[in-house]
Amino acid sequence: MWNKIKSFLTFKDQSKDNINQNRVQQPKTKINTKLSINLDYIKNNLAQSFDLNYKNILLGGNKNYQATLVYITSIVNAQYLNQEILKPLMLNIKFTNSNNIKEQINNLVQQLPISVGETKFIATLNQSVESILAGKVVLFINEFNQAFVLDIKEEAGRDISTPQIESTTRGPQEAFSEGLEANISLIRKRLKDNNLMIKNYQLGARTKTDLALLYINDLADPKILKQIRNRINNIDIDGVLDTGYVNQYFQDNWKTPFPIFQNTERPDKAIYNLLEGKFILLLNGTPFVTIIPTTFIQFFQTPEDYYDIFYIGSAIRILRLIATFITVTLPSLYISLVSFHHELLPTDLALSIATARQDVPFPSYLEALIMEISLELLRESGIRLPGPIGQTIGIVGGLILGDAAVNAGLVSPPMVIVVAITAISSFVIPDYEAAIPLRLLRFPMMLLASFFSVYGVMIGWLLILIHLCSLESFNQPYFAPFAPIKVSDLKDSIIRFPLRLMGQRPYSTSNQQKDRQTRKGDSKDEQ
Amino acid sequence: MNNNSPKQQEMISNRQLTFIIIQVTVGTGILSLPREISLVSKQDSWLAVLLGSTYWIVSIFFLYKLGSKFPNQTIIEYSELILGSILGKLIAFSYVLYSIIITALSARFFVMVLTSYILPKTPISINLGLLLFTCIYLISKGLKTIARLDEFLFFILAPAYIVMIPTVLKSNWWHFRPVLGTGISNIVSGSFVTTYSFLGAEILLLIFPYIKSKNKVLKSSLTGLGIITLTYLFITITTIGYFGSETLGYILWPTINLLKAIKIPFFGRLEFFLIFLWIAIAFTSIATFYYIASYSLTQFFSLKNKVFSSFILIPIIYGLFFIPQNIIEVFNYSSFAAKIGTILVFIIPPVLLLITKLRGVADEN
Repeated sequence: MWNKIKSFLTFKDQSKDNINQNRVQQPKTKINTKLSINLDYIKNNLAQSFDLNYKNILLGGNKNYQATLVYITSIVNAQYLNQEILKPLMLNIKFTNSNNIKEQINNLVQQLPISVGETKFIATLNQSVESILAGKVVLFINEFNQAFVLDIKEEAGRDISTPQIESTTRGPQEAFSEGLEANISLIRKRLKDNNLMIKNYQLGARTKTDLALLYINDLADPKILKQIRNRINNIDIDGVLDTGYVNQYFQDNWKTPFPIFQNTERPDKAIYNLLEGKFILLLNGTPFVTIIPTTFIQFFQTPEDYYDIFYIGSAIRILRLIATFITVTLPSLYISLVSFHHELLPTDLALSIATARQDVPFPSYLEALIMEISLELLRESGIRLPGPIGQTIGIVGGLILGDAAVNAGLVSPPMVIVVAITAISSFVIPDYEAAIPLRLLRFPMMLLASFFSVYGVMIGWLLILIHLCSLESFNQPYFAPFAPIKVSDLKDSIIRFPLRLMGQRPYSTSNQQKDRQTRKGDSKDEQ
Repeated sequence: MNNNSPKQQEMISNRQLTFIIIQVTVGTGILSLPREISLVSKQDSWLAVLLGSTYWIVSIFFLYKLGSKFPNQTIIEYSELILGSILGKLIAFSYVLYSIIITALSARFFVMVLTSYILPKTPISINLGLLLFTCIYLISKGLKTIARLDEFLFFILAPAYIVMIPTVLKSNWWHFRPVLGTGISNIVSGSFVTTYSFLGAEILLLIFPYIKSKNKVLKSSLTGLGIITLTYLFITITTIGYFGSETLGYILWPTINLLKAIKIPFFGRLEFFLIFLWIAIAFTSIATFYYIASYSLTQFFSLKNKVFSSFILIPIIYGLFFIPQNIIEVFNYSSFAAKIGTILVFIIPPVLLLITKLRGVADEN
């Protein structure tokens, strides 16, 4: 029984042999010297796509030299194809004098007059299918046992725009977009370190999504790098659509509601973390990049904390932590005070709450539950609706419904205040991913409070703290610098110390160099 | 490097050891200590607390010496090596039994306070159930999490003592005079009363293999003891200073009552704030004792995991929990448990150490 439950709750150990067995592995086929055989192979593998195009040409107009260009029209730059590839191939070929056709073709291929930066030769048909699907043009030439690949990919996508989720009052207003190369260029243009490493991987047996792992070689911890590589290689799924997939496969503890990794769409945040010796995962097709490893306090840090003066940064941090406490606890504290410990309230307040609750037919926990659930409904509906209608929902739901509920005597005004404050507080938590579990945790808290009052609230918090203390992100403690306590990292936790005092990289995450070189930059003015 | 992997992963730092010792010791005792001790030592209770802590300095020294003889084993394992299988098993089992008793007893204290202040109508068995559930959740996360939680909660909870400072200003310092007026014998017997509140450092016998740098154990555990002594001194001095030793004898939980005296505008009852935080203080203590109990049980019967043995312990703890019929019996049982603790902590480790030296037994590694 115990073992059954346990095996249900844990991952099945997938050894590496298993993975290789499951993976569909086609036998490698070499490129034939006969053009028609090659084309048949491609047709068999890609025949169903209507946007697949074959362009038969004669190189230089010479009918001894048959060639075929194969590409997918929807992901190739058509203008470039016509101007820079087809035209020179058909018109500008210079022939060398040689009797042997093969030799002649070899010479010819060496000096094709094509002005494309990324070109290469490939020898197998499997590779050529992959290249075609990746938006490349493959040139097959009769009597030539290799294929020529030209990269003129042009994929439809969004331009770089302002951050949608993580808007800030200050700092760069560029956000990552879906293109991997565009995202890397956003990082490259801000970080001109020759130690910046960009490793490329492919994920997903079918989507074949490009994944880039970024780190600074002399800062990042090689042990974590090794772990990340292992885990990337162990991921075995058919498709990867967002970094969320990767995150879930990366988690040590997958039973936790808290986000183990932070995702961001801001390049400046990504670079800040790179400079702390962390790793960044960029996935092609999603604007959200993953920061590895993550600590819990990172979800309460925003870039403008560092851009503003440290008083302001610190004050806002403290505000966020108070907001977190309110989000999780306020409804449950209200329940335990109203239904168990009215004597704890000052007499006047207790009386006014009692008067307000006089007509309410529900006990306080039911009242709180109804209100909190309707709040969650409002919020969720607001997200799905387009902007202007979303605001209407806010007004209809928040103002009219709340007021009507109070007038009808269904809920008491103090309850509405409590729910409203809770809702506002949950929006103060800057990271949406971290805010969701925190705001959902208040439901079990309310349940505990309705049975055990403050004892239940305290036990609830203890359970949350135990859980947070037990979490790890790539073997780095998740709840650091609070537990285990790292004194020097506390400078960047509840209070954000002045930048010139934060001369050390965080101890919570292992990295190679501790010194941040801020002290050297502390120059005096000439007198 | 990885052949000892479960232990390698569970290693705790020496600073964490300090906090574990503080949190396991300062628990339920903190509420009852001033009353119990002032019944015996009157105005010189604070001297009794100081004297009581000196015993522990000696004891911790022996615990450390014994532990460093067998740096990779717990008392459950090496007691057999030292004394042979039958006597060794007996000693080991007495440690298991003792830690179960302490767990049940401190849970009883906890639920008693809870019932009288927060939840008068809720059945105590349900309150106990929630407590044990939380404890088991913590145990399932392992020693590393316990260490981290203790470390974190210490810094969160330490400011709670600041709340008591206003009463210090109202203290009547005549309550402490005449110094040494109760006589040396009363102070000494008062110091024995403190034993129950000081129980906890014996966790060293069990978690010694998990500590990172073994040679600094003595320093970090003595630091812990120092902080515990300061806490108890503070509590004793403030309560005696405010109430006087005569009145103190009539107050069940003086530490809580002390806060009733403080009036802050708007917040009517400050003592609830303390009880709220005390739940966390007591929880860490009970949970760690529970951890000791289930871990020693696991080792004694060589069971598979600690969570399983902690489930086995639930009915036993429930049984022990309901043995005392009323609050007076609870106090009697606590002094009884303190006596067992005295034997197991102050007498047996030095004896074991002596036998180890005589027989020349050493750790296999």
